[in-house]
Amino acid sequence: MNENERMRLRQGIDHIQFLRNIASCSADVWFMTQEGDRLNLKSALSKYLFASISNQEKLLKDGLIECEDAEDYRVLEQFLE
Amino acid sequence: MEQIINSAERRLWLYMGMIHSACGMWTWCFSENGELYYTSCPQEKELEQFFYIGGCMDYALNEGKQTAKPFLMNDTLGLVWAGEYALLNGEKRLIVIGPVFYMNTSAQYIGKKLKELNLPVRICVSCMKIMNMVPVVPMMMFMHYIKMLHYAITFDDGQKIDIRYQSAELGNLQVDDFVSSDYKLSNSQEEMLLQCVRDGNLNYAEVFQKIKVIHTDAALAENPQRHFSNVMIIFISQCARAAIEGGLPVQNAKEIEWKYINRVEQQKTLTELTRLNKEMLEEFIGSVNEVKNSYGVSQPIRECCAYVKSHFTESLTLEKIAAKMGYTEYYLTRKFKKEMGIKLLDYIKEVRLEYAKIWLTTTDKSIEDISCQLHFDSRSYFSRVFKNKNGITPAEFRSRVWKGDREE
Repeated sequence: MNENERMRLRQGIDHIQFLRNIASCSADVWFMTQEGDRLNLKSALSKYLFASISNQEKLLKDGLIECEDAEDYRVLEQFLE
Repeated sequence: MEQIINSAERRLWLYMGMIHSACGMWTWCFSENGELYYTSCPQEKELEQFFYIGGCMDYALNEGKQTAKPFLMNDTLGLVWAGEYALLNGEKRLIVIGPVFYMNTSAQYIGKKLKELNLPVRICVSCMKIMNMVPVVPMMMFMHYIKMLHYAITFDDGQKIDIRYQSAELGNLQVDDFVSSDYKLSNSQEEMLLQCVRDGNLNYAEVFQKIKVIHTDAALAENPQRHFSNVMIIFISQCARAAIEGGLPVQNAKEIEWKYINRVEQQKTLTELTRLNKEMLEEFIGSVNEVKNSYGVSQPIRECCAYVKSHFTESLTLEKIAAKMGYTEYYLTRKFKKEMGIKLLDYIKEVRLEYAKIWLTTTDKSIEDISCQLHFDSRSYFSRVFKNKNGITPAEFRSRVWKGDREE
């Protein structure tokens, strides 16, 4: 997976709708912070953690989304830059 | 004041402030499609997502909408919510209270698990900050707040409302009381329920409600789900023993016992355990009741016994019981004596003496209070009949049991 295949989250997204769309993704979807921390957004526990930082705009803005199945970017396209 | 009373919206506004003042609990108002209108929660963005992630929002927007009653929801982290639909200004709104933890160790347990899983520390810290803000409200108290919510929405008495419990796997069974739901019981509550199992008393919820024991949940379990499962397994075994004492054949009791112990391990949330607990109690009580009923006692007399067992804390007169049963006093007392081999008044006394023993051993109520609450005319009369029945006075009985406990 190269850097180009990771995408940034748009600002001000509807987080619940974003999580709903992730549920429709066929493979794992990762959120990665600038510091290299990774959350698998298909995992329920990671979803709680992701929700916990939903008010930390900088962390979200600098983070990247990586879909293991490239097709899943389509499912999330409205939330990605 | 009249304006407040006549408007559900104003009542809810007042309720929102009251429960927040009482225990820091938050109220949420959603559209019937799940759009958040307002909340008293300062962490609304994060906790609204928690509500969704745990499956509670989907439950509320689907199954919850099918009922005009309150419903209880929780997720695998142990966060508990309750909701009810309200008609405000002609529009249907979903009112939610929560989240709460039932136990003060729940957040600590989550923190420990996060550490073990080696997840990003900075993000875990953010999560724990939110978890630590979630108020701890014991289950029994939370049930009272649900009743109050129902009252604020409907202006109806919430004493006997049905509550629906969210169930992830087995559908959503209606639970018509939440008396039995708190399976971390005080000794007194536990003994009362076990006595109901021995008696095959189908009105156990009614009996229990009259006792009005509210306990605080002070358990210090590290893992609340495991702790409740363990408590329930022990309680199932106690119920099995009580059922055997009540006349249920040992093999039947053991079959029921193992069935429910195995099922405890399959439950994923506290609400599922709660529902299972009620189901288990009903099966034991129903089975004992069936055995007792097969001893040739007629239906009216069985009903009479059940009535006495569920109203023994009230003032019971033969006239009142006969009127309830639809017989004359003369006919009922003769029929009772003939079938039960004991006078109805003596039977009432026997039932009260059985429950007196439980109170003496499991509460610190004074003997005076017990004799008064069980409608014995005086302490001395109570002591006399107790001694006639058990060979020792209530004080001696209590002293022996307590001494025995200390020696153990």
